[in-house]
Amino acid sequence: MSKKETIEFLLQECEFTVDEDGYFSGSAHFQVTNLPDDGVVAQAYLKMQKQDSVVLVSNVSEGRLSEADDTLYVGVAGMLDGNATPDSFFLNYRIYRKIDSIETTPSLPSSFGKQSLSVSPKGFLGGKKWKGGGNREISSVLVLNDEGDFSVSTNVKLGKTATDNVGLFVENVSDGMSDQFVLARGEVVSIKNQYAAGAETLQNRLMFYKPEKWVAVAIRENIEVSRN
Amino acid sequence: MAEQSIELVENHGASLEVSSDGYAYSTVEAEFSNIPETGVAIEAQIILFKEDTIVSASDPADCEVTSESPTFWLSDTFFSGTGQVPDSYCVCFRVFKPEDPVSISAPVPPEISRQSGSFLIHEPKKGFLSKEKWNTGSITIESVIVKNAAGDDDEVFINLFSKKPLDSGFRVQAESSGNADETIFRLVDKPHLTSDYLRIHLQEDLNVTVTGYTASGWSMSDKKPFLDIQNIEAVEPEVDDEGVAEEVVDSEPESAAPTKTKKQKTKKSEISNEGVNTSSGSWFETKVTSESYLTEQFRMAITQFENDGPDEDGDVAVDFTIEIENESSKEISLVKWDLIVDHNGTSIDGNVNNSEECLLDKGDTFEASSYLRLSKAYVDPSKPQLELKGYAKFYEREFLKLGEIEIPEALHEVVSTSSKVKTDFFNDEITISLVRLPDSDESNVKEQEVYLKSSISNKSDFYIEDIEFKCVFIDRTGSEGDETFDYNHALAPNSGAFFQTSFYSMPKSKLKGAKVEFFLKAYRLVGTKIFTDVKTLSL
Repeated sequence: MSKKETIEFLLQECEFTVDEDGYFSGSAHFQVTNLPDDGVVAQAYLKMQKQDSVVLVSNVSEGRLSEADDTLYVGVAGMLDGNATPDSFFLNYRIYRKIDSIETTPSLPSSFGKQSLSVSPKGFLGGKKWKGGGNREISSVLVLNDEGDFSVSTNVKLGKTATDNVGLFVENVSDGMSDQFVLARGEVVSIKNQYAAGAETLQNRLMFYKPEKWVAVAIRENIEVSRN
Repeated sequence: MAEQSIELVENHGASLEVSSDGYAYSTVEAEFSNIPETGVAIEAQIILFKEDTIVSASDPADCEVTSESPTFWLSDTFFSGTGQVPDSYCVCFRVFKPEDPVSISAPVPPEISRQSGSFLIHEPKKGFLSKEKWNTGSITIESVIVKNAAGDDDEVFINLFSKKPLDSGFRVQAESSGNADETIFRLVDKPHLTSDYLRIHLQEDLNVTVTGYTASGWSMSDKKPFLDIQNIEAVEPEVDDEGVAEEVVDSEPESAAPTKTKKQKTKKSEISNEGVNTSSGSWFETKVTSESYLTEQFRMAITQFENDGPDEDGDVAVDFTIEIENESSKEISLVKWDLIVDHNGTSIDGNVNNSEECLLDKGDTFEASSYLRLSKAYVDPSKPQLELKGYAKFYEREFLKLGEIEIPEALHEVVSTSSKVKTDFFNDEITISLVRLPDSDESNVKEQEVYLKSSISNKSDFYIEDIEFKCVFIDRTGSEGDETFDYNHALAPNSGAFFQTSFYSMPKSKLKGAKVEFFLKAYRLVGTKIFTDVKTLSL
């Protein structure tokens, strides 16, 4: 069986409290198992219930998970007390999987304060080389020489994934590596002012992650809510 | 269908400002047509082009528009340098059309003695064979949570499920015996969601109305050129470790606006070379003259001078108006002025320490009116001439957004944020700390305090005046609340200042999910004007 089929979220610990003003807060800590070698991106939120009634939903937590860093924390907070105090919760999560990547080697500005603009080189038949599937492409890469280091801005057309809340990892490899993860929607996304250490060369790699469907898992049927 | 006819009809006020430190600030006022009476929500972004290459795009933002208010301001900022100044733009948008709302009558739980109030979960009724449905478009309301607390701290919120997250949105209205509150439009970002809280004083009947919205596909307008391109305030070039000024270049290619002259550029470089050496342990030697302050031009006159009296006490009341024209190249944001009255060779009165905020472009006129009351003892009726001496100081302003800090849930946890700022005045990175502490009155357990601290240093070679460190409290619904300030009257070159301020007596419930936004405002003297005039009293 492939690892893709068996990713699991194992609850490590959770705690919930409500204060005298009726402010309910808590968190759950999950270990994610059976991760593929190249890792995944995951989003998760908690749905708090009182018996069968939904009483509170957390914001989304997200993280890039790998075997070296396989834990995800999800926090929740809101005004709840008395007979609306939650007694159980669900975890809702979805996994992002890498579907595409585009690599560029932008030109570098020669002096402090200068900025270069690089666009896709073209192949023999005139097609753009900085192009992926589904009409995804890197439109341009701007590199600013910021006192010897680089400030990199990447402009990306999302093509068919414009409405998918696609995940983007931008990696800049120069003298060291820096990366940034963003969730994007819309026709074009600008990932601006990403730091990269100054060097003779710069590789700018963009990886596209597409979300799978949300999965709901009943985690705890009886939670303890402490008071402080 | 109505949503198909909603179009971007006009882009008013599309403008591009290019600062000489290399940043391009673009704004577009997008106007939409054929908006139904119910209004719609729009999610939109602007995309900026240099010829046919995309050089930047704003993040998508959403806004409700109506036929009375059909416009949506969009903006984007990025470093364009000298070669990537955009020449055109397009607007990318999608329309969220409201669906039939669902109206829910919810019971109100009784007030009880518990401090946190009483809570009620209101859900669709379940029958033997089916369940009542609270649907609006792709959104299903799963529960309404009602909190009834003593006093006015009642709250209502909903939990919902959407079949089409990211393609749906909603807004909630609640009304109880004439009291009402509502949320703004919010995009549904995941299948389950809790709404923002509505604050409403609950009485007998509570009615909650939820309106779901469904998104259209993305549309992209035609590409249009920027017709209004301006160069804005020059920033002095930075000085590297060897004290050599960097190359000064203008962002001028597309602009019809006046650009800096070669002479001005040279002068700036000279100033920088004389600039502050901030290396550790070094001395800063102040300039002997304030020559740079005198280079700006202002025209100043008394345009009205009328007097009454003498009255029964023998005093003479004088009303006057002064007018000042900004002939300088600077944008003036503050004018301070004093008027001294001399008579028979001695000063007899004055109207001093006046300070007025303004916004004067080159050629704009500033007008200030005031009055004097001259004692008869000082006025010789046989020589009714007064010599008036006016002193005016003109300032440019720097306004910096310093980011925000979410208020931590825990007490005594110090959190901080560091903002890199483009500034002529201060250090390039400003750090602010925030800590949440119990109320100073230990018996007051319902309220807490939030302390904010920061510091700045003046990296320039001029005095900076009227420095205001402003903190704005934003509650969890995004609504602006209290403001607090700290203030420094004047900061000498090569010196620093420490700011601290706080929010006192903040209810704990108000701090939940809240944040504080930070701003810094300061002024630099760019010119002075002294003038004299002689006016004759009518006695």
